[in-house]
Amino acid sequence: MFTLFPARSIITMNPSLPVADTVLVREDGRIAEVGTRASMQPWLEHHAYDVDDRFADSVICPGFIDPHLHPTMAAVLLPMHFITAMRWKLPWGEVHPTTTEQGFTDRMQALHADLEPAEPLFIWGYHQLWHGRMNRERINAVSSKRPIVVWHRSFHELYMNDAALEMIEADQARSGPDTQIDLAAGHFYEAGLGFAINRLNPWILAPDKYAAGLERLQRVVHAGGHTTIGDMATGMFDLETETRALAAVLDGDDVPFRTRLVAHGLRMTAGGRSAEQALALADTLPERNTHRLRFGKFIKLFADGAFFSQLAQLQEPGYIDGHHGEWLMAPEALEQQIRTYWHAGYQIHVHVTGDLGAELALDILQKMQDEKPRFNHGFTLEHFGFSTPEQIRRIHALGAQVSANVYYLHELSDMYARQGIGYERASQMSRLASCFQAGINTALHSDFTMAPAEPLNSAWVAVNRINHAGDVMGETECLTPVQALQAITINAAHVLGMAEETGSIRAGKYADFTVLEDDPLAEPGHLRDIPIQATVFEGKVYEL
Amino acid sequence: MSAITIDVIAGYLGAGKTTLINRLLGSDKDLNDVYVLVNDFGDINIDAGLIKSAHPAQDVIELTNGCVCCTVRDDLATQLDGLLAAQPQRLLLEASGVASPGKLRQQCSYPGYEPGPVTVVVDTETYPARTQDKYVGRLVQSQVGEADLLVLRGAGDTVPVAVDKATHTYESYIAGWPHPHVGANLEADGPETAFATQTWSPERAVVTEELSRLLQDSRPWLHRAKGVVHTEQGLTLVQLAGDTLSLSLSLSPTTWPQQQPGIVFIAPFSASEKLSELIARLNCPQ
Repeated sequence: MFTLFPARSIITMNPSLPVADTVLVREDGRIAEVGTRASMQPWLEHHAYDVDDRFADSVICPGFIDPHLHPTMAAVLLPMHFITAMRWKLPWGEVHPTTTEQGFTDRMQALHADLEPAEPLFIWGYHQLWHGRMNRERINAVSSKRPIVVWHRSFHELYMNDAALEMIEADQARSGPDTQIDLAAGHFYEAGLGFAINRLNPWILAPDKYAAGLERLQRVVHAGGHTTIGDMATGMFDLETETRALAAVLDGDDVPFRTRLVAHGLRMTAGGRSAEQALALADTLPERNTHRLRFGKFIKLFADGAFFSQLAQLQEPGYIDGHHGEWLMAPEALEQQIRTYWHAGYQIHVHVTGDLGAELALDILQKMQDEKPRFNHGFTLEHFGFSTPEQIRRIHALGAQVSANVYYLHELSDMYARQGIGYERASQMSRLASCFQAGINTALHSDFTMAPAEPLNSAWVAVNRINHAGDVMGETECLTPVQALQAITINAAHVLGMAEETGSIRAGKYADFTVLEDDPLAEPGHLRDIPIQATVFEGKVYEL
Repeated sequence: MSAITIDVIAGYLGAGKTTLINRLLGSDKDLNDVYVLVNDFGDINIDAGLIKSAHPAQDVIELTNGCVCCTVRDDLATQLDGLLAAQPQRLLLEASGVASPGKLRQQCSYPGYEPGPVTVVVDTETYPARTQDKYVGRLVQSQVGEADLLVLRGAGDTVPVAVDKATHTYESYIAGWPHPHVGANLEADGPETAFATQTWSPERAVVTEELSRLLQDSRPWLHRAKGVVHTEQGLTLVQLAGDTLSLSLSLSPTTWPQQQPGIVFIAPFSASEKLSELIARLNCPQ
């Protein structure tokens, strides 16, 4: 039996039929026709159909796609309790912004009061900019008996109280700026974090916790309105355990989305495997594919350091204080790996955060094109924090595409304008309108858990470019609402190599929809607040 | 339990870290219970006769001399934590080519360990060009700047500037291992195992007669000097090595296109003070 879905409006993302009001879906989940009730009569006369009118007053969009997030990181983070300066809409409860020192302390008290007595309390989201100074004493004041661990939002530092320090037998550690451990303050950071994490692993990586974390991730992905996601670093922790865990939780018949798995290139060469051996291993990965979990000829590599830590590699004039960014791989090593996958016909994704990182990726891409010209190669710059206008032309000329974490602008542009980068370049991060103008395929992603897994939130940032302080940054780079919607649907489908089957609403594609209560093109200022009524995945409705 | 010392071998890709480790593994040094963490087993040249047992699944190779080789895991902190149980006598860590000594010292301060000297290997032939590379120029210079010791690979004609840094060849480093001399307290007798280098960058044109005299006077203890300076005669190439001291007019400024005018001096570490005095006198001629 076919299903007919009438709607207030259908935004198709098919430029040949941008708007419709009815869609007809076949039993196997494929779209038979898009248009009006009248225009699809030939189908309706020929096939029996049901009318599902629960979306009659709603707006149907193509199912949202986030081409770059990390399920395994999320599995570790989501079981923790969030106290954050930004808003996070989580399915089990919206996290409202906490922006003061007292507010943070009050939330800690409340969480402590609500939790079972013996449970350790893991909190994530602390940042000194909003929440004041953190230390062992402050957490002890909440409770010194229950182990409490407060993670910094960046995930690069944490603080513990007496009970937590005892739990991990911290007395074996030594305080000092060299160890980056301060036991008096209960503070572990950077290199010192390694010790704390190793000791905390029995709790945070316990298999049941991890599985529960993946279940939460599934709910988060659904609640964000996604029908397709990209795991842009499969094998980050361990390829075998990860793929097993993903298969257990993200592969069932009732999972409302599919996942493109892109292998983590550095893990493929771990233990001294050569680039050729890594390629051979990557070639075998699609043998594990299921309907919902799919490897392909895709690989993820890395140029420069983390954006959140100001470790991006910058062109002149560099950082205000003169510090250097970091390379995650030596440039020669990156080139050699890219060459191996390029000649094997892979689509290559490169993490680039600074404009010098992007320059390196583009220089290498130029060399590859000179060695073996390819069309439709899909080379993707991932994150795309800082870039120069000149690079926009090169990206277009070389046929590359961009998958951007525009959320950086919302959370970091204010701080980076004042420290580290300066106003001019901070306001021009995520140079997205220029990408669209140049005809570059441009998508948005969250890099969850670095940003909320909410495509409407990412779209809202891209359209409005308002940072947390309320300032508009780099107005000329604002996307139009239509462009932002393209960036979270059809453009993202192209990035994941799935544009033949999803990303827009047209005859022949899967019926993957995100159903909204309001029109995303009508009030761009409120994009991120539009309630999502349901998703439809391959024709099946999943209410929210 | 005292902390386990980690000797770090750092330096950019291709500088010669693996070569140094290979030489050490093949030497007659006491490596019993020394754990060596390398980036890639493939590059390590272990004589088959030296292998006691290999556990490829765990990326571990045990040698007959008691040394244990492992590949560096991505998560060094976890790997160090795991090795504590084995209580190695010492650890030798081959760092990633893009790591900086400062950060490595912090990573090696993991509970139960302490960082030993950080040695940076430099390929003197490629180093000058590398310092101009738009991607890694600053990185290679800061690696050298943050090192405790340098090991120089290559002809050594162009020595990277390194004030007050002990400079070794592969031979002298291995001869001195596990305590290649880092400090000033060198034994006067016994083979010289370390060198000091200093660079002199003159602020104004030099008088050739004065320069020549000072260099001649230093011949007894000065090992080498090489560089280009502006003199009253023009751009002059200065070379002192072995029996030869020569000052010759360099015909075109393009001979040393990327060098600032200056002379690099190399002396045995025991003569560091004399070297500093020489530089002082070059700066303030009588």
